[in-house]
Amino acid sequence: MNDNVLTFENIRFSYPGSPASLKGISFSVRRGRKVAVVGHNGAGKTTLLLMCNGTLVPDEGKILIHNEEVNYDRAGLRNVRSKVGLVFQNSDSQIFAPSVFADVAFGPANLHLPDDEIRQRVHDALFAVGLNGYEKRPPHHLSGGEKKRVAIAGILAMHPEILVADEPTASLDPATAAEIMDLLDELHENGTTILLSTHDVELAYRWADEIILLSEGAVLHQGTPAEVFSDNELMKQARITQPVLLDLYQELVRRHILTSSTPPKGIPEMTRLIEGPGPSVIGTIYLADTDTMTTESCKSLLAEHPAWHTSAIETKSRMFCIMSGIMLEYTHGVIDKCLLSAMNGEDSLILTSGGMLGRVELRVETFAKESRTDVKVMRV
Amino acid sequence: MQVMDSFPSPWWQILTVLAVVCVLAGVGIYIHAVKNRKKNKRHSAKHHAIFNEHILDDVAIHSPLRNVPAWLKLLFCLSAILISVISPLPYLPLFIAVVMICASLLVAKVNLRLYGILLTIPIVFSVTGALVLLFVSGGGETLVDVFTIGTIHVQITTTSLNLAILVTARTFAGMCSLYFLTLTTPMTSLFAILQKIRIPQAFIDLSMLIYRYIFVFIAEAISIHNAQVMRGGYSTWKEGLNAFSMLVSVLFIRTWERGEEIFISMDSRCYDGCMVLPDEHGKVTPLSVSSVIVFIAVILYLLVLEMALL
Repeated sequence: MNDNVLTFENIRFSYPGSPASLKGISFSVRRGRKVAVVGHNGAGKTTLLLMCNGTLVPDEGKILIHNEEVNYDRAGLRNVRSKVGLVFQNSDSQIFAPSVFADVAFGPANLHLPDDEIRQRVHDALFAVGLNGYEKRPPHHLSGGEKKRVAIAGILAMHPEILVADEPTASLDPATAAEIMDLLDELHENGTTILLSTHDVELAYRWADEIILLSEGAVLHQGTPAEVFSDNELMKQARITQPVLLDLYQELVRRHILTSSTPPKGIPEMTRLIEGPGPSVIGTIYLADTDTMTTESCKSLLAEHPAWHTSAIETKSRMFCIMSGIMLEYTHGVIDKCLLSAMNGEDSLILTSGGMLGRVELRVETFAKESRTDVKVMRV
Repeated sequence: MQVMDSFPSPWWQILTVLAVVCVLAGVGIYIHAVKNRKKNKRHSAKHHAIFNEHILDDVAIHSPLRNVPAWLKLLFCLSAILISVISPLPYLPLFIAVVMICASLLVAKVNLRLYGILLTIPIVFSVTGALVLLFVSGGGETLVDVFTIGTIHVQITTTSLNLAILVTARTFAGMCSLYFLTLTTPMTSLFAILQKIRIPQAFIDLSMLIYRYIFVFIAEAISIHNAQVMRGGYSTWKEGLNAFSMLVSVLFIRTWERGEEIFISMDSRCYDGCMVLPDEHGKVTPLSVSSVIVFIAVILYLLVLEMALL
């Protein structure tokens, strides 16, 4: 028994009356991974994602979910769709109910859950996306980012094991896009496997564990972001550009300013590489669990250490800060910002809760090991 | 209508002339405003700012009366409409209209300018309707004889005048009541009532989808229209006709595509014939219930009084 949650085996598909859009696609996604399908416009990304929940039926080949072949009868499809949640690119076509509550409750109601359970799930899902209190709003009163959150909440309420998102950041402003990606990270932390499609190479490079490079309906390569985006020949073939960070890194290596090592994953790694033999003073990243804190204890902690850069990750902790009127310095890319401050000899505080505590520690430890910098994380 | 001939006629004669003058002046001002709006772009932009496609929905959602249960507001307005239609004299409808206007402006705190703009719509159509009634229907004493061609008399008589005034008053009261409902009750809270009065589920599901997509398609139509205006569509009458037909056909295709997308999206979430109604529960307050009861009692009493007056 392997750990694959989703497997495509030699999938071929063409829309009626048009040339083949998928020409023998095979790949598999392991449990708990963050996978990005990257490809140019018309590479077949959306078609591929629509196959994941049985909306499109392949002409040839097999799709396996939890090593079980998808069964295209009514009961089989219901089963697949309750496991694989699909978030569309256009939120307006996904949100069809007249109010946020009615829309998020749609999935659970059609799974024939009892009323109390539906209510609880809607509440939890809206809480997870940071939209509690929006239940009565009609969708046309929401901004683009809020609509996307409602669309995600509608899927979350069905408790899917795999979340499939088609271009989740398309037509969102950068700050909102970063928030949506943070949200996806949070969901991932809670055990959801995430598969998303994008042509934003920067996003794919930073976010994904694994890249599936798609071109002209075929998989060119499946591998780590560094592997895929370092290969210039592959990039050219797939008609996509290189992420700026990697481009800069390769250019600096070519000029012998940097020595070749593992390509940097983010700005902190890059800074570390350029900085050379390590800073003398290294700051500490303090972690505070908002679940065990009150507004007063948090405020007194901040008053004791006025020099700390404060930030929050996770929707719940951010809500906590908004409620208690705590001003946050960093709101997006928090861990990277804190690492950079630490390397500059400054201390910072991250307010978070639940699984994100472990995640921050893991990220900092990985960074410390890779770049041989002695950044410490301490819980307060 | 026999009964109405018993009105004191000299006063009515003066009132008629005044009313006709007012109506003509009103129509004149309206036409002038409409013409000017086309010439004066700034005015048009300003007008647009208050009257966008969401305005009625926005006002209803932010209304201070939103939490009053929808069935209570519906009862309030339906009884008002029903009684103003039954009323044989124009006084009661006018009273109801005044109450509704006061309720909308003072209790529901609707913006005065918005309300004014909204009211011009029923005023224009009820006045044009009344004008036709005024000259065409006959009976009773002749007040003003406009002209006679052969056997066709175009004249204002006491009966036609009374009828015109009654119809105007009824329409006006009805519209004011409807506006009160629209401006205080979001559509989302009416769906639950539709279900309670046993409207078929399919009808409710459809109306929920329609309600949602009205706004999506208005936005779509506006963006198509903007794209056309930008490239010189609607510059001449002929061009306008062409552009408009294009707009309609593109909108139809988009609707079709959107329909397919909704279908996929519903299917992806295990659609099994189950749509959830919006979760709206108003709070019944003693004040709201008692004021509705008092209002209905008062108009019923006035109705009986009017009947007795005849």
